[in-house]
Amino acid sequence: MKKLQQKKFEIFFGTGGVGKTTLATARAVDLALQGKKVLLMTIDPSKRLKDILGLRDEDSGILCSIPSLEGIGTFPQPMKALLMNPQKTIARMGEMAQVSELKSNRIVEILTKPYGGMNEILALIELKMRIDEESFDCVVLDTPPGSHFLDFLDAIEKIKQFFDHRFVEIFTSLGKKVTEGPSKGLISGFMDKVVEFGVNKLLQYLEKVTGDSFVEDFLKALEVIYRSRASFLKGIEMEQVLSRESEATWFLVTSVEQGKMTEAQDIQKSASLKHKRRMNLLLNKTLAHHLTDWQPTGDGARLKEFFVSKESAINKSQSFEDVFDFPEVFAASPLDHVKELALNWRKYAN
Amino acid sequence: MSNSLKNFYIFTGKGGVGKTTAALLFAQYLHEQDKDVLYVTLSQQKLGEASAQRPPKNNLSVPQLFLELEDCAQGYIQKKLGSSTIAQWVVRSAYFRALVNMLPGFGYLISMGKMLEIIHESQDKKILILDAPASGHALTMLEATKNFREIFQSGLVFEDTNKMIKKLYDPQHTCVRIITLPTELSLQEAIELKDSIGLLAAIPCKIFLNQLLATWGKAIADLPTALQKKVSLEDKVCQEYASHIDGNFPLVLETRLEDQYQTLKPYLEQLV
Repeated sequence: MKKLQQKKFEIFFGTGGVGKTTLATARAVDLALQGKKVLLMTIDPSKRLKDILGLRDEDSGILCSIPSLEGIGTFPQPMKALLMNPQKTIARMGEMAQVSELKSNRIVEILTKPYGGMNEILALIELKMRIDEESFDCVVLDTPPGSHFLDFLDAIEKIKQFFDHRFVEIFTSLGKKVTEGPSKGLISGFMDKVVEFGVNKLLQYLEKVTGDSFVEDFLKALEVIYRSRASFLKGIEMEQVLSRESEATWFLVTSVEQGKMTEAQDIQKSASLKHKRRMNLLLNKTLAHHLTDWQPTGDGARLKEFFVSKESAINKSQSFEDVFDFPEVFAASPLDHVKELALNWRKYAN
Repeated sequence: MSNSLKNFYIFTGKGGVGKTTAALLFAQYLHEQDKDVLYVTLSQQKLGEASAQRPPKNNLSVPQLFLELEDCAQGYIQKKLGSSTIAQWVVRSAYFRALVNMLPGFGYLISMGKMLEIIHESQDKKILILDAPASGHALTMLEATKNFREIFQSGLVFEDTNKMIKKLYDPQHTCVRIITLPTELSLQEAIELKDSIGLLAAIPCKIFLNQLLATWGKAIADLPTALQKKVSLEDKVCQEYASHIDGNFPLVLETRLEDQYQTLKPYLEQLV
């Protein structure tokens, strides 16, 4: 049996619907049962996870303490759970940087809606703030599905790009010029303009298309974000920690049922372009071992071949150093799933 | 049937549930009935990055379009500013890229504008089948129009966004098809997504269970215990959530899309 070394941070990622959240929750539960002080953080909180953990919608953005789970047991130290709420994170950042406009800026507000897309950047910042406040033996991080995880890694690039001085300064100074000056004829003599590369031109064109209030509002948003940059830069520190082999384990989750191997490999490939490091594969919902004694003919044989061939293709694949199997759980209740998967995690415990 | 057909079908669901297959085969189904139909997939909604997803290779005869964000953006700016040179320069400039990539959903706004324009230019004759991004992204996409209307407040994009919202949120024009697996967890997520879309606008939204093993379970007598358990869990889900389920598709064993089409053809009318 393969054994797994527990590290300070464990990151779960993969395409949607493969059981990522359930596996991450089960991992946190098993570690907490072993007496570890665990933080389970999820960036894409589904109603299901809230139900499993007995949390309510109002609990998002708050560090919740879970002393026990029904049917699973009492934890020696309460398990901590945090469901990401971008708006609460941004409010906290604004307080810390004493930039009250951060949470009231119209554009920032829209960007921090649950699906607004700044979730990844904010999650890293939130995580950093939490671990600065309290220490944990293990942080289990459940990321949003699919290419979202790459966005998650890219979040850092975005922050760096954003706080490149040239970017902000050019935008602000030239932006003012553009909004102050009258719009000139854009089409006539455009070749001259094309030759003169510059942001002011770009802003003129943008303003022409997007309306005059947008450019000004956008620049204001840039400014308040820039003034709160200390918090954003914390995210960069966090990324460096998560990239270190010694500190973090990365789990790519896929499920046999959905034949997501190609996509999982694609994710792995793109992730490894930026991050040269080990990745573990969690293969969820394996079924083939249940079918070995079944010797059907006709349609049954086709059905067996269908299930078995998918699984053997994954096991033959060379892309991953460690593959951990999680057999399909035949239970309806999500809590039963977590319970069984937690037992399975224990098998891999070192 | 034609009376109830919409112009814009948005297919969504978690990865691996058979969303692409359903969308593509439904498009082929309408195409064989001489409808003016177009299957559409989108590139990564970021500028300056290679596109990862392409429509799967197939020999289906339905017209298929792969929309590149860069082309849509350039086309739009060109229309508004009247110059392809400027448009090309704007789209390729580092600052414009940073802007689009920073403002999530902006890419979707641009691609969606292009799709609605295709429908509009056909005088609402064309039917677009969009193989939309996975659940959360689909919501970003649908929300994008509303968010950017708030962001822009005036100007050409504002006016165009308003036009888009009219079409996009018109229940006669647009509808959503959520494809999901026949397990409690997947179905609950589908219902959650449907509810979130409902909060956004009155877009007609239906949920379909895909890859049902039950059909095989009934045909094969000596099903092993593991598969029997799977079938009975499916049955339980189907009964318990009957009021949320708008249709079913069996598990298909074929791998080629053309073969899957033959098997699934009798089930495709449900998606109308």
